[in-house]
Amino acid sequence: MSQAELTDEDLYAAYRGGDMAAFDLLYARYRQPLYLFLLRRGHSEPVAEDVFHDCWIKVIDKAKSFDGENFRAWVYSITRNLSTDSFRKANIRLTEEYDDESGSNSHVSTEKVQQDVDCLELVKTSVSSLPVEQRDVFLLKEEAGLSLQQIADVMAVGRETIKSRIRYAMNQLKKLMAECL
Amino acid sequence: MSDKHEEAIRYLYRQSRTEQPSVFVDKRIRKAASRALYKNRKQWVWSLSTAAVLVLSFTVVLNLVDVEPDFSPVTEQEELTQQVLKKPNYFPVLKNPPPAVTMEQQSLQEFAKEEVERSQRSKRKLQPSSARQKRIDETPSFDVFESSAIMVEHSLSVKTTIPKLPLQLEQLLALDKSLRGEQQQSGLIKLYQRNRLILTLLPGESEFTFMAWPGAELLGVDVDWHVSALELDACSELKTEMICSLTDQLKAVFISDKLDHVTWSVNRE
Repeated sequence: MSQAELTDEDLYAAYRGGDMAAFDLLYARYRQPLYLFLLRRGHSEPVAEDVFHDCWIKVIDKAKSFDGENFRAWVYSITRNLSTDSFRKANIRLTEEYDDESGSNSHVSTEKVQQDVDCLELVKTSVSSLPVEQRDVFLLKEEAGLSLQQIADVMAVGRETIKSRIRYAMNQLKKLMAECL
Repeated sequence: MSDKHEEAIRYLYRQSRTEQPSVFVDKRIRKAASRALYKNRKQWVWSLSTAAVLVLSFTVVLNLVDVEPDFSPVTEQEELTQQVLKKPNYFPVLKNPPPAVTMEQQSLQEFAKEEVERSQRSKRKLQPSSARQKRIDETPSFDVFESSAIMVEHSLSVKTTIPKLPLQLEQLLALDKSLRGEQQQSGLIKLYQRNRLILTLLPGESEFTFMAWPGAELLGVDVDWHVSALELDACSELKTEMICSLTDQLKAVFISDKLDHVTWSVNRE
């Protein structure tokens, strides 16, 4: 079995055993998804890079906090927590008024979406304009590829809550990207 | 329809994923990861080195300290017995092994046994048998036998020229500083050298007696002793001495079978 076929957990264990090549492979797997997760979560590029760096430093140094079962969920949990801390330090309010029942967000204005922008740019801005819980659920599902249960574990909420948030997020994106659909 | 829009959104989202972290961040992260590995290796090597040093130190200390091994009181016989018991059945088994004695005790017992035998041999030498005791009693002592041999085998010759001696004590003492003398009321002069009487002289008599001991040089007189056994025929034995006439003037005096001295009866005229 080649190293490329090894699971994330095996690669991380190999790195902890002194195999730098395993780290390189693991880093390659998560390099762009983690960075995009941070960007789509609302960070600017410089801040996203800083948080991205801090995230990997934790992965390198905090091996004891890894239970060895699901590296992907563990690393996204770290990234999300660091991102939240970064927002808090910058005094940026992440917890917005959100109504799970209506799925509406009074702070998200469709008027901000420029009609003439590229659809690819539109999807970026649309995702970034989602309420933070919906945004996180969408990113963890689409960017990180986590299952509903894993997302529930990372966000420490119930699985059904995740399902409803995904539904609300998609409905919101449909509204924001209507011109491209 | 809804699913179709969601697929479109997902497609657009995947197409929008073009941003990447800078190479600078990549290098920083990789460097941190490599440094962490080196740090872990260093700690591992350090731990191993420390353990090795501790083990070596402990070994050296054990070798330096004179620790007497704590031997269990298992005897050689017991070990042999245990070995035999462990062997298959075709080996003979000692059912009643002799009592357990340590190597040290065995050595001490052998030493004590040798000492007792040596002591008994010494007592046998000190307490001879009756026949041996009788033989010892009949055999003269070494000293007596030797003295007899001297008397028989040793021959002496005496040649002397006796000068005319002065008849006054003071004149005699003046001949040699080693002389001591006295003159008795009867007029007899006794002259001593090294506490030995060497001369008796009675001034009114024509003879005086001069005594000499073997090897002595008396009053400037050379004395050459030669007493042959053949000349010991005419002897008169007194209580403690035997006097043998060598010539008319010369006599040999033996005390306890030893030639003690010779005397000259010299006619002054």
